[in-house]
Amino acid sequence: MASKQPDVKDFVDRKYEHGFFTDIEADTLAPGLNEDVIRLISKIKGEPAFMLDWRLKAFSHWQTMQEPDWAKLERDAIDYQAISYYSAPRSSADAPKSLDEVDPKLLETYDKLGIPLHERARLAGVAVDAVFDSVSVATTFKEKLAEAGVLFCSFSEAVKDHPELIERYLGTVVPHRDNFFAALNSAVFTDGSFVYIPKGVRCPMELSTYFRINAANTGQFERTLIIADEGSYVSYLEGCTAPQRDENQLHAAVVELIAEKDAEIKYSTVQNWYPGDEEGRGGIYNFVTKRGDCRGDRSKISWTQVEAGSAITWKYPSCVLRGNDSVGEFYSVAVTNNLQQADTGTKMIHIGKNTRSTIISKGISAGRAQNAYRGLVKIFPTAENARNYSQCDSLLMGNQCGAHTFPYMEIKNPTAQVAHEATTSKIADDQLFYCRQRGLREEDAVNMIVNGFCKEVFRKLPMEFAVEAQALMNVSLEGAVG
Amino acid sequence: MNTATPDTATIEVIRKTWQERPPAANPYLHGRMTRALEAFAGKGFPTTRLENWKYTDVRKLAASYPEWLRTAPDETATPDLEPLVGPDSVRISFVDGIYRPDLSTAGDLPPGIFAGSVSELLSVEPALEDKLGKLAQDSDSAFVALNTAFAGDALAIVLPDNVELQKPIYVRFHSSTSQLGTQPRVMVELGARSRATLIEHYTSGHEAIVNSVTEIRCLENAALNYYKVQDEHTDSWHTAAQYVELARNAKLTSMHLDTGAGLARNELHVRLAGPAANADCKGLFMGSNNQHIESRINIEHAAPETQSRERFRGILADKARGVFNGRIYVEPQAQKTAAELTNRNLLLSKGAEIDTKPELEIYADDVKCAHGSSTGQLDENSLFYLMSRGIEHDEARSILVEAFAGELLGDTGIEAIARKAQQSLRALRKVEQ
Repeated sequence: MASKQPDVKDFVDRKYEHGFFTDIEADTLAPGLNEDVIRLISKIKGEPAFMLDWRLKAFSHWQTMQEPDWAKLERDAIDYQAISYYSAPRSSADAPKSLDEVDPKLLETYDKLGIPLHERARLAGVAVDAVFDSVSVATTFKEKLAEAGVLFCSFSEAVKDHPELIERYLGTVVPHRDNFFAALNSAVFTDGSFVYIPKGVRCPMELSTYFRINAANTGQFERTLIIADEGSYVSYLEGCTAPQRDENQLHAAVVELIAEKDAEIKYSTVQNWYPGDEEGRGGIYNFVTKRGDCRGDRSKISWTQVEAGSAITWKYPSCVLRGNDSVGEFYSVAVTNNLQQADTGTKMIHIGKNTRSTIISKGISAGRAQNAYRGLVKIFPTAENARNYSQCDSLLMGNQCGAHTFPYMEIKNPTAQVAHEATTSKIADDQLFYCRQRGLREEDAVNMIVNGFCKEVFRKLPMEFAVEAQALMNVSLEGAVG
Repeated sequence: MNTATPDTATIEVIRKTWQERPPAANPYLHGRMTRALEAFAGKGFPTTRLENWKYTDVRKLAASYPEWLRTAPDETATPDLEPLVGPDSVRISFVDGIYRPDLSTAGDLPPGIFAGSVSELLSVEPALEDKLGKLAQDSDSAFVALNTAFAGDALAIVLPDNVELQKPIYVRFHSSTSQLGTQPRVMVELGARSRATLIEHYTSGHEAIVNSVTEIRCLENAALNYYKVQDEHTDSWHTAAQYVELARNAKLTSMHLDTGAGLARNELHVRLAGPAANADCKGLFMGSNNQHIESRINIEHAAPETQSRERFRGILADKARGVFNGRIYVEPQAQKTAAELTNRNLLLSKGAEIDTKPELEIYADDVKCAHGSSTGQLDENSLFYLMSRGIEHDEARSILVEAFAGELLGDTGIEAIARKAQQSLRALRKVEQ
């Protein structure tokens, strides 16, 4: 490869842009996990009895479970007793009703992140339910949504205001005993987002939540529940950044989507949590369970994700295609650099007739990173005429990284058509040569080629997110080629 | 977490059976067998909790194993063994695990080529000890360990350098006794620049357990055409593994045909150890009734500029279940590797099932690797095309199924094997109707 240019070197040495720590007083529970901690969390949140029961059931089941080790990940063991399971900003008791009431330091944090909450919300018409640590502190555009009948609030508010919906839907997609991290989340989750779109309503704006991890040593356990009732539509955006930290932080979120008859949910994620430094020190452990249930006929769930951050990413946004003619989609770009590890993919479970699914996964591995796609397409005997198309492409940058593909296909119906394709290669020398010959710097040429490689997925993102994702891609891969 | 719980009672019976057998005369072999038995006892039979055995349940096989291992072979059986390939081949036959000179023509081999037992070979070439069991490690798999422990002596075929063997070597393993367990073991070495064709053919007259292991080493510039035809009795259990190592510029061309057995599992491991080594592997598996057929390939690219191509197809009718697992592994030093894996499957009836998993595991960056897999039924448009030209529905389906297999069988070097495959296909079609 051509000699390194000085700017490439600068890029390599550049530190994580969003790494800083806002000094806010936080009510933090002492580290440790037992039934009392769970009772306390439930009490602090003022939850009804069914929630506590549910948490305790999850906890007792979690204690019987073993941490999974099948993923292609290497990491230190997690000491679950060393984590503090609750941390809330000081002013949580009298939560702010509007932006003016929000702690100015908090707003400063968002500014540093380049998310001018109020401005952005107004200009882009996006309602933001910003989760700062574990409790929601700012919610906007509620009125407009309320007019449409859309419920969009923090999980704790939903538990207080709409317990009947929570009781009816919580844990119906990801049961409390689903897997090790989902069970842990069910026991200790502190907050998250709740969305309910009533029958026949097309949500008037794109809903968005920014997650932030702040206080040190606090595992973050979010829970998101989105319900799209018959014939409704919602597009939901989730984006993350986190301050720089030395210890590994565990993040075990659960996202449940429910699409009733003729409903459609579009869920987009840009994940840019602190990935650790060049030597792999620090960084977030991102172990997430995301699952969508296409319950009704002709329903549709679409997952789009750009995974650029975290030391370890372990997530498989899935679709259970229960309703006839329902559709599941998964579009993913996963970028790993330095010592990052990603084991991500999807599951498409075809149960209903004429169900269709599409999987497009793009993995980019640079430095000494390991990037794996792991997916399952399962066709039940009942899924007449099911269709699946999967495409998994990997791009390798540097000779110390790895790219892996583990697609499982289990087909029990002869009328199904399932096709899978995968390729792994590096950026072709002739492509680079072509660009450089036309005066592009190597870095720019690589960015251009990488963006082209990911285009199919970026196209699926809402516009503002797509722009952000492209920039993120360039930052994440800086210095990867040279 | 992912360890099988060995079924101690079964293991103890197997251990006792082993101890009752006369020990191998060669002390080296005896030691090897003893260690293998312990390796097996430590592992026990695999369970579906193990990733590599997720889709294949061997509990019933394990239950029959101890007893069937004790069944006495019939040393005087005279089965009518119609060879798969014509008289223009060198035949080596085993009936019930016993070498049968009367059914073999090993004497036809040109001088310099060794075909005999490993213990015989060890007496003239003690250096062999370093090579035996190096490719098929007892620690890797319970079935390999079981084979090493019970196979005892193995068939060894050694070609010196610069030999081009025109006649194919046809090795037949036949089980004639009902409920017999055999452990065929083959070791092959091709000297530098040598060429040969080897056919392994497995049949059984009654239900039997067959667990075979083949180790093949191709030295520099050697070329081997390898065929394995598995056509066991439909109540038989067949587990088999081939381990191939290719040195610089060596080439393997292989074809696997799996049609028989109630439960069959074949593993092909190819290690491209020398630069520019090349492997071209094909396989066709088909099942009907309640057959369970698993085909696994594991290709390791361990040197630069190695190439491999794997094409595997499955055809499943009735309630048959097919399992395919293909893995391409590229080590960091194996730059400029090109690998391509395709798996296509045809499900002919309701109730048939396929579980497929083509994997890529890549640690080098300058590579071109691809895999593809598709599963479906016969194309309706093609069917319509044929029927609109006056061909009956069933006949049209037959043509399409044969065409699906024909794409693979087209360039099978040995016509008899392609014919055998066509024959099995027709049988499959009959069952299906």
